[in-house]
Amino acid sequence: MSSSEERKLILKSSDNEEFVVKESSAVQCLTIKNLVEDRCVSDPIPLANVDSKILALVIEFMEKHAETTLSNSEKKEFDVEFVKKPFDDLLELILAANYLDFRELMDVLCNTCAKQMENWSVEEVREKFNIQNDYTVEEEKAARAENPWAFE
Amino acid sequence: MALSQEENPFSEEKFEDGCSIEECLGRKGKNLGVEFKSEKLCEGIDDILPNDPFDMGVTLGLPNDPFGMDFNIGATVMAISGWIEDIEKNFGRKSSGFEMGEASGVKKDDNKLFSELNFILSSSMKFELEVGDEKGIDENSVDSDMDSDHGLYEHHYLLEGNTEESICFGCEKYSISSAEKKGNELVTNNNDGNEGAPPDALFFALGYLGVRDLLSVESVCKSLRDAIQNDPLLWREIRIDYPLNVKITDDALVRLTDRAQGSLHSLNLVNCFKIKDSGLKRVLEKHPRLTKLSVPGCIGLSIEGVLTNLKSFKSSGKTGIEILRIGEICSVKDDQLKELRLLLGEDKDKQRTAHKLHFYRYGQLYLSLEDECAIDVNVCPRCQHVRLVYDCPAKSCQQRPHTSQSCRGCTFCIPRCINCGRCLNDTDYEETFYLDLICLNCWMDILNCQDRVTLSPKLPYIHQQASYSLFIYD
Repeated sequence: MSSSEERKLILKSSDNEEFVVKESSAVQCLTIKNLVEDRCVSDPIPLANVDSKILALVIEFMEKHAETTLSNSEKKEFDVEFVKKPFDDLLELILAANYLDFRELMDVLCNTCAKQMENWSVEEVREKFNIQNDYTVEEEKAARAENPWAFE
Repeated sequence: MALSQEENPFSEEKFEDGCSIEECLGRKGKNLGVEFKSEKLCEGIDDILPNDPFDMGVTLGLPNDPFGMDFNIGATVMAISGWIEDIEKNFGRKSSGFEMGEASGVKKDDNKLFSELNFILSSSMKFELEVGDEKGIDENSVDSDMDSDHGLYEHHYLLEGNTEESICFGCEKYSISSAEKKGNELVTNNNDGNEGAPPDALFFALGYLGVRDLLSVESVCKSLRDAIQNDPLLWREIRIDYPLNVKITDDALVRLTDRAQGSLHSLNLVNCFKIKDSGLKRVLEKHPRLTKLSVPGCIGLSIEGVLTNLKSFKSSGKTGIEILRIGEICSVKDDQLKELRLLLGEDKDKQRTAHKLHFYRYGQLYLSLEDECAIDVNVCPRCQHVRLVYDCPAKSCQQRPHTSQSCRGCTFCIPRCINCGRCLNDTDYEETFYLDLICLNCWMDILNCQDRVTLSPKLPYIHQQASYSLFIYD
């Protein structure tokens, strides 16, 4: 073929959907980059931990950020719109970004989640994430007594 | 300069009748009014904030002069209505962003005294940090690539505050969105079918939470507690600012930093006035790998204490502190500054090339730890005192750098706009409620901002652009 810019990779999601991406975009994911550099690329690359819906979103992000013609502020504007998704999707995207070792996406997603979680009370966190309180009453008191100054 | 926490009169103290400022100013999410114990109509200025409304010979209600300014509340209220009249006269009614409303059944007073001030604010306001910024636990980075035209309205800042902390007559540009808070959605658990356990993704997000949220989340369940308390990586960089800054003591700081298990390498204490030299010494003794220390506004510290601590820290064979921020904790003498620079191992050549422009902007008053400057304070080229020295973003001023006429100096020598940071020598400006100065351009931008949305009572979520609607009932 020709220059590396045109080299394409095929990524296959856990539900067997295939996506064609430019190699130059895909290597932002260090997991994929390592495969390429170690010449372990099979065709397509199976990504067992990422379903098609999430993989499509990841590809959208990676292609936008690989565009050299865009300025940083334009990319940031894209990021702001990109994270306007249901919380569930953001969490799944975090897992995918971790699996693919896509640092930039990870930072954007985790910052967004952290911002949304700011100043949530303990009960709100439990409710929103559906987490069961496995403390006994005494244990919970002890946990809060660790840093009482923070909650006065 | 904005009031520090210590100076802010709207602290958490209660008034003598047990009524907190929050109760007196209004319930969360509702229109705020100055509420009184009695239901009687207020007909004059003196009735707005009476000290003894029931003539009981006891002092009730709000303090007369909370700012200690020899202050006449009546005069202030008159001044406020005067400002609004001026704005409307100069810029037209629509541009003012202030709407005059009339409550029915209340008669007009010739002196324009008004019986009730309604602030359409909710009790906590947030300005959102721009997505793509560093994680919350890190120091906010100063984006030095910003154009001089970028001001607060290009970024939105997440700043928590109760209304009593941040009542400001439109000095920043925000909008209030009632529909954007996604936190209302319930999340399904993607944690491999382990019902009731926290989702795996949450553990990744922990590293991006601030100290306050980490302490809160660790009370949620045991697995989160274990993850937060026992992972030293979460505590390698610690930043304490509002609201924990007013509460943290020496003991609490030592306990918190212990979680880093000796691997603390960056500590940023913003306006933590309870921290003393002895407390800082205890932290330094336990964390030999600390290289970045920032204590701006920590007025419990002394420059002599900082010098002593840094000297003994370095002498025990450690690398020592390389980056220090002491923004105006106290006055620093020239020889003390020289000694600090020596201790920090400041490389003069590197400093000259590494120096980025530092603008005086709300939220960026103190130099970031990410900046490569060894120390934030400098000798002001104008008054020769050791202070925080700011550059000027105005284009005309940037054309004469490093000259005797360069627009670079401390804020005592060169007053600056709190929004964009430009000097105010050749331009008109307004004074905000917090006694900050704002240039006319920024003030006009705020007044003419496009989205005027009334605050939703439920969702105090403000970002980027907003106006405050001040209702005055005659």
